[in-house]
Amino acid sequence: MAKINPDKLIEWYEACGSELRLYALQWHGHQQAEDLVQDAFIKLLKQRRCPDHVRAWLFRVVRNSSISRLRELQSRKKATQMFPLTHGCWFEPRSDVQLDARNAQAILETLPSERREIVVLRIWGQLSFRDIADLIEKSIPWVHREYQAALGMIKTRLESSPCHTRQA
Amino acid sequence: MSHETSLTQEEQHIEAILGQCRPMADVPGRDKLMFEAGRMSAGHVRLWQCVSGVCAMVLLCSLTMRVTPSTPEPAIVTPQFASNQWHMPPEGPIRRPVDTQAYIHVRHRVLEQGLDALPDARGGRAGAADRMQYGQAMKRYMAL
Repeated sequence: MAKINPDKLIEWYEACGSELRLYALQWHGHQQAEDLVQDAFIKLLKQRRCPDHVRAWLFRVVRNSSISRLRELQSRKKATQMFPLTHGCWFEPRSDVQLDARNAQAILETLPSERREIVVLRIWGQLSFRDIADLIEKSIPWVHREYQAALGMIKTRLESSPCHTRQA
Repeated sequence: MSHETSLTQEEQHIEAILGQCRPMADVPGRDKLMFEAGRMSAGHVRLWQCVSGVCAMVLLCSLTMRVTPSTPEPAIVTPQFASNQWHMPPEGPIRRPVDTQAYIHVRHRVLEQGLDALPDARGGRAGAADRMQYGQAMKRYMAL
């Protein structure tokens, strides 16, 4: 495939930039997440050949960079666990949706990190189970099982606090 | 059954609810990326640009070197130390400049014909006194 031109890059950024940022927010604050996404697109621009599956490639780059950055921070701060999940909003506040943006974020934050990652990759990243399995280096059935479990947990949260959902 | 279609209706409903939430868009991030992408696409320093830059520098340096007047540097005088070696003249008899060819010719004639063959400066045959004088001169020469 041909080399990537800047116009195409912007097109991709508009198509999946915010989803990638949401994905990076699993590990980092807003600013860092944005930096990681920018780095991923710059890396894409530097590629001699365009990857076959650009979306999955971008998610992979963001994931690897996020984990590397997190390790750096952890070793620097000697923190045992560091998931800055409370940095800003993840979703745009909208009135025309059933689930409030803040509540959606709150529910996602309660999920175990691996399940949350799978949910984000599946729903907002729009990746197939195969792509997710490749990305997180697990088997497809395992990913599917975890995804179903995550949806079950979300359903329980929604049912236990009905104020989380609005009537459309 | 494929994993993509194996979700229950309830699970698909939850997916749909969550999917309605849109991740926060970051407009400054887009502008920043556009800037970076433009900078990267325009900012490649190619080989010919480097070569022409170096050539221009060399040309400039050579021109500057030529225009700059060269000021003569003051001569550095170093004291000459006396040498310990004496330059001795080669040993042997002091040779004087002599018209060798003419003398040898005269000598041969004298050896063949005797003293009468000596040339007379006055045009005729040399007298006894002259012969003596020439004879002494000859002896002196032979002694050398």
